[in-house]
Amino acid sequence: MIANGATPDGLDKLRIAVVDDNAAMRGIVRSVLGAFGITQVYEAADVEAALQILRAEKIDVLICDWKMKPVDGLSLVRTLRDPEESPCPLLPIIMLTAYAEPSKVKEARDAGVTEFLVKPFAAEGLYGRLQMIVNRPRPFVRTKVFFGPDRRRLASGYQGPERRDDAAPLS
Amino acid sequence: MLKAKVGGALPAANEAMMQRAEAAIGDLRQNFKAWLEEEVGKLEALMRTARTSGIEGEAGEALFTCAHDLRGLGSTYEFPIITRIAASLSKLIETPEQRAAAPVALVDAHVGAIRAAILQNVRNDTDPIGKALAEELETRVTKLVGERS
Repeated sequence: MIANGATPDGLDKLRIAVVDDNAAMRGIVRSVLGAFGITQVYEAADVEAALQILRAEKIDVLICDWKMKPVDGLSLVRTLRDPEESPCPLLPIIMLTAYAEPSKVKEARDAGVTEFLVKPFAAEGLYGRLQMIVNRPRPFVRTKVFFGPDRRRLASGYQGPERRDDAAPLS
Repeated sequence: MLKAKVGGALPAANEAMMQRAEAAIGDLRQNFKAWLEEEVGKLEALMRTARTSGIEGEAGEALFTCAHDLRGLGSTYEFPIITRIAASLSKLIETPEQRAAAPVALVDAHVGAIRAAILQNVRNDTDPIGKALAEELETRVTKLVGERS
């Protein structure tokens, strides 16, 4: 339990990359992360710059916009979840986007996003996603058609047999 | 494991931390008007292009991207009604097929409504005129493209 007013001590150890083509939004996310005690924040305005950061730095969490040019955030997620291409296939990814439709959430999950947060976002929402990533990390699975964090998050651990006939847990 | 890196499970958010986050956003507040003006100016410029070249090509795609950005930014910049109207516009012109079928006048009405919200300082739908306008635009869009899930 942390003292009222304090930030969790270890958050300052996290290194977070934010990729969004809107500089103001990157600044807002950085400010909110700073209020949580996270100061190691790397910014990228496009996917190419994000990949350079991810190749050069040991990033713990990526916060990624979806609608960007020339390459969109969903393509970045797919690249990062490609074990042959990715510098960090197991990286937790928060998709921070103005898309709010359930079909978009599903599309993002199917691409390998770890958490989904809709813009405009509240600070509490962002903290909650970080909390999920740290406290209840999704195990990674590899099937014939999917590599990424398990898309099923159960309230209690599933105790039955594995029903995917081609699943291989990775973590 | 990130839990080990940060020294254990993250506790629930406390009120002071959230207040600090709100204050951090508050520090940026002085920029919101200029940032919103920049985004809406961009939307209007793209609309001018779309009026002459149509919304089926690159101009339409750029217009959708800008509307989508405003959907995410409006509430942050303290104009939730702009998020609502921009969401309606995004729904109207998201795909090339939708743009091909979208009446330019209805697209234009959304852009005009966003500008009017700024001019009249109508920030949310507690304003009866703003609410009625947003509902009318949403109704027309839903008639054209249906509900989307």
